[in-house]
Amino acid sequence: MLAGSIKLTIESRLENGALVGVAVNHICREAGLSEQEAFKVELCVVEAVNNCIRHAYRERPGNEVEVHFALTPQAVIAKVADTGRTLPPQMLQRPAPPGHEAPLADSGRGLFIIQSLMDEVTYQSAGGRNVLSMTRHLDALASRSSATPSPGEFKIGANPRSGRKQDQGD
Amino acid sequence: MNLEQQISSGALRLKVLDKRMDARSAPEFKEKVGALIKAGNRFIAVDLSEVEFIDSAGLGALVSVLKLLGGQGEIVIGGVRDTVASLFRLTRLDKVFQMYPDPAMALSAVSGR
Repeated sequence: MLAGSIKLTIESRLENGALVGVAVNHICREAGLSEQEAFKVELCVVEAVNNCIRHAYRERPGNEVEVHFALTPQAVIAKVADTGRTLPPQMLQRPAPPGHEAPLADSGRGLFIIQSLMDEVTYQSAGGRNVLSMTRHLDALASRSSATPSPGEFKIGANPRSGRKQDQGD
Repeated sequence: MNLEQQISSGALRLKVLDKRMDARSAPEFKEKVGALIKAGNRFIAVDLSEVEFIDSAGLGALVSVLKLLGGQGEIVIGGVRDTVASLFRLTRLDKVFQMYPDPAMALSAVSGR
């Protein structure tokens, strides 16, 4: 299986999210992931990049979004980093998906999607740098981490009951 | 955002010709479909058979144009791929939009209304 890591850096423009997404999808497919799995990984990475551009940088171009993407036989790990505004904790810890409370909301589904499709999601802010880390285990039966977040780190979406529960069976 | 339009028995079939409905293309989709709704199109079948990738912005654009109807009309979705369908299910938007595997079935569902 294809394995290793790659770092992609884009300017903070929404159109650049597709470039990262397509790259990640193709890497996943080359590594043997199914079309559905590759779509989900691409989707989460694109949502995270969009969040950086929209919320951290308020759609101002000229800033950098870094995506570190790693493939191992056990998991795909994506870390999306920016140096913009830090997301408020309440946004990250929102327990219920906006789409469920208000099905006709125009926005607010991005983090819910990430939390639902990834096994582990953490957000860390230090030294002016924000990093959203996402892990999806390739073995559906793999044990899921319950590690305690370090100081300054918010751990979200790692609860199997609120995590990939709705995702199973696809 | 490239859209192909077809009118049939009072309903509008809108085929999205782009492979991606994402944060880049969603605003243009909203603008174009919004104009079509303001022009009097109330029953719309959106054909997503060419769309390989959709994200929350793309979903938000569909919800946004649905709300423009104000309950006076209907938007149905046809031709979604399995990957795209899985996102509709995850976000429960499959309960908001009637979904049809075949775009022609989607158009039939809103024709003659």
